[in-house]
Parts: sequence; structure tokens; C-alpha cells
Amino acid sequence: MKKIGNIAGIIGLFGLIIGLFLFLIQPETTALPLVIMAASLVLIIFYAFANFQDVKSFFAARSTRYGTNMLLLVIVTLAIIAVINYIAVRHPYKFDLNQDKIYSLSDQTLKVLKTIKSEVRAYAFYPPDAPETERLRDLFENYKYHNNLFSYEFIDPVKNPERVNAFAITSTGPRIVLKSAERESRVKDPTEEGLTNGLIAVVKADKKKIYFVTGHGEWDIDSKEETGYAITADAIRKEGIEVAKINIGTDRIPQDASALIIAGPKKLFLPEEVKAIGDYLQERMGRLIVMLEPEIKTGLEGLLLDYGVNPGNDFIVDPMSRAFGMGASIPLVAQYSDHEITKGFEVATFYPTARTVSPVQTVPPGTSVKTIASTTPSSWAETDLESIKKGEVSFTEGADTKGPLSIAVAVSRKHASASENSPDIRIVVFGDSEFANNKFRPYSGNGDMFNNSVNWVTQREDLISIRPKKRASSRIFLTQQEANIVKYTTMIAIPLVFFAGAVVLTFIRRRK
Amino acid sequence: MRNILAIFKKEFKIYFDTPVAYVIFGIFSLISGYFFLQIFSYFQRQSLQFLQYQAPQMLEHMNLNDMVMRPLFLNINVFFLLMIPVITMRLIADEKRLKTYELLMTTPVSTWQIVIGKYLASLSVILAMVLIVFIYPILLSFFGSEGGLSTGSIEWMPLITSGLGLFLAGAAFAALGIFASSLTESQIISAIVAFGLLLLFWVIGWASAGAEGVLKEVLRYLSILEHLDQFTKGLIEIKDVIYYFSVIFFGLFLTQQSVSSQRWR
Repeated sequence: MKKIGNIAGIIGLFGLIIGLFLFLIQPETTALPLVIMAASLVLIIFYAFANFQDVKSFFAARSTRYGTNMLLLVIVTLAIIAVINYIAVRHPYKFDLNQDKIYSLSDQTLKVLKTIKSEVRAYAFYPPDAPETERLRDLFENYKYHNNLFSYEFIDPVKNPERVNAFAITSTGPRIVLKSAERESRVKDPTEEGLTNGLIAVVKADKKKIYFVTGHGEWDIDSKEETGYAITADAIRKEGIEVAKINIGTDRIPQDASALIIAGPKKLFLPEEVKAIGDYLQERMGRLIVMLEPEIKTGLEGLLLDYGVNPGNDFIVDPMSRAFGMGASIPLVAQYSDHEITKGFEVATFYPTARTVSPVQTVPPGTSVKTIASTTPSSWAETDLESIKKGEVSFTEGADTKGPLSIAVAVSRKHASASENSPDIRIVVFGDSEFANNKFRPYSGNGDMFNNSVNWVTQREDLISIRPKKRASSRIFLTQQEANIVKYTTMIAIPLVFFAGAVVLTFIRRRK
Repeated sequence: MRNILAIFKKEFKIYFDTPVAYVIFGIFSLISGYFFLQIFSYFQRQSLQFLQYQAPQMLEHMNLNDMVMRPLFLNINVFFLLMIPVITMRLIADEKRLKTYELLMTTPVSTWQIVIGKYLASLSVILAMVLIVFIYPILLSFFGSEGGLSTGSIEWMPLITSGLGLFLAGAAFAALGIFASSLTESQIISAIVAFGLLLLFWVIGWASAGAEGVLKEVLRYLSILEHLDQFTKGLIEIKDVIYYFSVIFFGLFLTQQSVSSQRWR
């Protein structure tokens, strides 16, 4: 009985340690460690019963009393240490001893952090081994250090697909979400500049609202049909932007409009409507996305030309698209410029039946017009629109333009009197409107392309610019001789000195 | 104080009047020199590559502090984890083995004085090891000042904070090491227990990678290797300093308890 008891005691003790270890190591709480620990406890109790006399005298002994005292003392000390450490963590203080204070935040950021009066939480969707993670964690810690209403959380997108969905995060879109009780904003650039501008958006800006223009046969944001825009509109709502319709023929453009979107008009805009849009842009630093279709005259051409955008009277054909299972009338884009909308874009986008839109030769003053997406070199812009209806297109030297062709442009314009930080007029023009509809939106990068465009045009804050800090470069180019000196000193000379010392000492001690 | 000094002197002599310390330094400088040379020659190769490919913007990113010294200190921290149990293993265990322990316990020296005296002696070895690491940047500072391509030299302040951090880390390891030494009279068992304790504190950090929420933060904080990170960036955070001092104090406290328990066990 006693023997079995002893064995049970030893197994129980080991079981308890293993169970505790598993409990600490396992990321998810599972039943296994708990079961092991419970079973071990039973074994230990069994041991105590089997050795009842020994256990009794153990507890009566003087050494046990001292031992218990010591254990209590250790526990109390540990508790005090834990409290001190907790206080140190909650009230961080640090010294940046670097020459250029590279790990300290800029004055602009500190100013913004002071204006935060309610809790803001950052959700960063980066895996732990992403190259951005370390620097980002430093930044977050720094923000938290200066205002403890700021908190942050890293979410591994691989492990938490459900949260990725809940926040509608995509691989090419913004991956940091800043959230306060009322508002949220998304940050694409994991830098101090990006984060601080995101914070400004959360603290200051009103809720964003975009209006889809109706009345000219534009795609319907309530339609769940393949050609509708309902899913697209939902995706935008998920990013915290309100979506509504407007008929600019009958209604004025509301004050709360962050941007207008004209998605695939099929009828001519009336001159008054064009003027209303023009005034909105000009007077209210308006924002606009226009999505055109080939062969359709919209009446907006003049307005677009004013802003330096030339919609081509053509039809883009790309035989390469067949390799992706698409028709030749669905050109593929895999080449993007370094614009804010397409920064870091690495996936293809598809544009069913598209025309070219390109920057004009001489851009109006104060305006920047930039191609953001271009088709492949195998594509061309077919100008013989009749041949398309007949279904027999071919590249005609001289008449047709060879790819890469500009299919989307981004425009920004500032008034001559505007200061550096004041908002600008922003327009994005696509040569296609179907790429973002319910059917084509899920294809490759199409959805992101549209969402990024919406995000860019609705940005209205007085953005601040912060130059990223880094250590000044220090580099050394050694000659072969110098390199040898370094090598032999570190690998041979220094260790040799110590080993020689050891040998000499041994020798001296022997002689004594 | 005089008692502590006496104990310190005795232990210091055992380290430095015998080959022990010099063998430790020899091995240490060999390994850390190898670390340094590997990291540094990789840095040089990269710089040369950027130079050949005419990539001045990449050259601007090359930095001796961030790309050579910081990884070197972090690597040596791990090496310390393996080295320090060997330095502390005999501190108390040997007294027991040589039966001088009873003698020591009957002298009018308090257990705290014994523990601190011995601990400080082990710190002197660690301090010397940290100083050895500084040979490498000093060596580099002799070169590269001339020649148009080499720019600026090493920033010293972050190196000093790194050195301070490495010393504190070593001191924390040693506090756990001396506790392990007080538990047994066998030096080998003492070293193995110390390895175990230190590795456990290291492994806790890995567990934090899988955890979420508060548990993740707590595990990360407990991990003994985490805390050098900020020091190597030239930042001194109070919480890192407090962490190291907590481990040091708790290790010494446990040692003192363990030693004085000898009286009634």
C-alpha cells in the first residue's frame, strides 16, 4: 500500500509539473493540461493517505514550520515585486539617448496626441514576422506612452480570418484601422506620418458620405443583379463611409458630400448638371470619381478636359486576357504607378469593355494628372468601333495606338492661393464602369482598386507631413589589409592573450 | 560592508588568480569575435553590392549601429544565457562540497553578506566580458575615417546603453545562477539547474507568440531576452531596468533564503 502510494506521489508530482508547463505553453486553453493536473492531484492525495503517519509528523515538525514561513515570505516578496513591475509597466518612462532622437515622435504627432480626449484603439493586421511589425510596435508604444487613451492590438491575418472579414481588410488595402467610439479611419502607410494623419481623421473629421449620381442610366447601388452595385456599396459601408444616391438634375449637391461618384452613365448630362458638378469641384474643393464606357457620349468630356483628362474615343482590345480566361474585350492591368491609390498594388485588375483615359499633353496650371493604371503592351486602342460590332478586330498601324494604354487617371488641383496644407480638388477617372460591379468586383484586385480610389478622394483632412527619422548612415569600406587586421585581431590576437594568461597562471601555480 | 568586501576578495581571487576567468574570457572572445566577424563581413558585402549596383539610396540605409552592433549584442545575450551558469555554478555549491560551508555559517558574517559578496565577484567577471565586446567597435573606429565612401562612425551613446543592458541582463542571469548553486553541492547539477531556469525564462517568450491579449503581454514581459531590445536601440526604459533589478533581487533573495534554511533543515 505504502509502496504504491509512493509511486503515485512521484507520478502525481511529475504530472503536476507537466500539466502546469503545458498550460503555460499552449496558446489555446484546452482540457488536456487541466485533466493532467486534476489526475495528478488525485494521485498526490492518494499518496498522502497512504503515508498518513509520515505526512502528519511532517506537518508537526519544526522544520516544516520554518519552511512554511519561508514559503510565505517568498510569496509575499514575489507579490511585492509583481506590483512594482506592474506600476513600472503602467507608468512608462524612457530616455532616448540617440543622437537624433530617432525613436521619439515628432512635435506634430505630440500635438495631435494631446487633442485626443477619448479612447482610440488601433487594429493592425500584420503577421508577427512581417517586416513592418517591429517598427510599427515601436510607434504604437510611443503613441501609448504619450497618451494612454491610445491602445493597440496586432492581429495575425493568417490566424484570424474572421476578424479580417469583420474589418473588411484586404491584402492590398489599408491594414491598420484606428477606431474611436464614433469614428474609424484606415491607414495604409505604416509610418508615423500615416498614423498621425489617421489619428487626425478619427479625432476631427466628420463622418464621410459619398453620393452616387443617378438619372443618366448609371449602375444602381441597390441592385443585386450582376450589373448592379449593391455589393460594392456594402463594401464601402463596411469601411465606415456612408453611401447615398442623388439626382443632381433635381437636387442640389448636399453639404455633407465627401465625394460624388458617376458610375457608367449612358445618357447625356444636361449643361446645368455639368455646371453644378463643375461648381461643386471648384468652390467646395469637390471630389469626384467618374467611370466611363466606350462609345457613350456623356457631356462630361469638356469638364474632364478642363482638369487635364482626355477620354479616348476608342475601345481597348487585349488578346493577352484570353490567357486569364477572359475575352479580348476585357483588358488586363498589371502595371500601376506609384500613386497613393495603387501604392504596393501587386495584383492584376480587369476592365470589361473599356476606353482609354489619359492625361492631356499640356496640363492646366496647378493641376497634377497622373496615370495610375496601364494595360499590357499586347493591348491596343481600336478606333474602328464598327469593326468591333462585326467581331473582326485587328491592329491597324497608324490608326490604332499600341499599349501600354492609360486606363485610369488621378487628378489633384489646388487653387493658386491655397496654402500647402489646405485640401485639394481630387478626381479619379476610369475608362470602364463594370470593373467594380457585383460581378467583377471580386475578380483579383478590382474591389481594392475601387475602394482605394474612394478612400483617396474622400480624404479631406489637413494632412501633415512628417519626415521619417532614421539614423544617419554610417558605413565602412575596409581595404583588404585593414580587413585582415580586424580579422586577425578579433579571431586570433584577443583570444590568444587570454589563453596565454591562463597557461602562464597554471605554470606559476605548478611551480609554487 | 567590510565582510562583503572580504568575501568578494576571496571569490575574486578564485576567479582571477586561477586560469578560470582567463579560459572563460578566451572562449568568450573567440565566440563573440566570430559573431562580430560574421555580421560585420555580411555588412561589408552588402555595402559593396550596393556600391556596385549604384544604389546610393540603399547605401544610405547602411548603419553600423543598427546592422552590426545591435545584432551582435542580441546574439551575445543568448550566449550569456549559456555561459553564465558556468561562471556561477561553483559559488556556493563548492563550499558545500569542500565542507567549508559549516565554517562559513558559523562566522559572524550574515547570510546576506555572504550571498552579496559572492554575487559581486561573479559580476566582475561579467563586467569584464561586456568590456571585451567593446573592443570591436573601438577597433572599427580606427578605420574608415579616410576614404570618401566611408561616412561617419559609430554612434557611441546607443553602444553604451547596449553595454549597460547587456551587463544588467548578465547580472540577472547570474542571480538565478547563484540561486541554483545554493541548492546543491554538485557544480554540474548547479549549472544544469541554472540552464533550466534561464531557458524556461527564454521559452516563455516563445509561448507569447501564440498567446493573445493580456496573457501575451505578460508572457512577453516575463521573457528574459525581451528586455535587452530597447537598450540596443539606445533607449533606456524604466520598466526594463526594473525588470532586471527585480530578477536580480528575487534571485539573491531566494539564494539568501536557501542558504539560511541550512540552519534549520
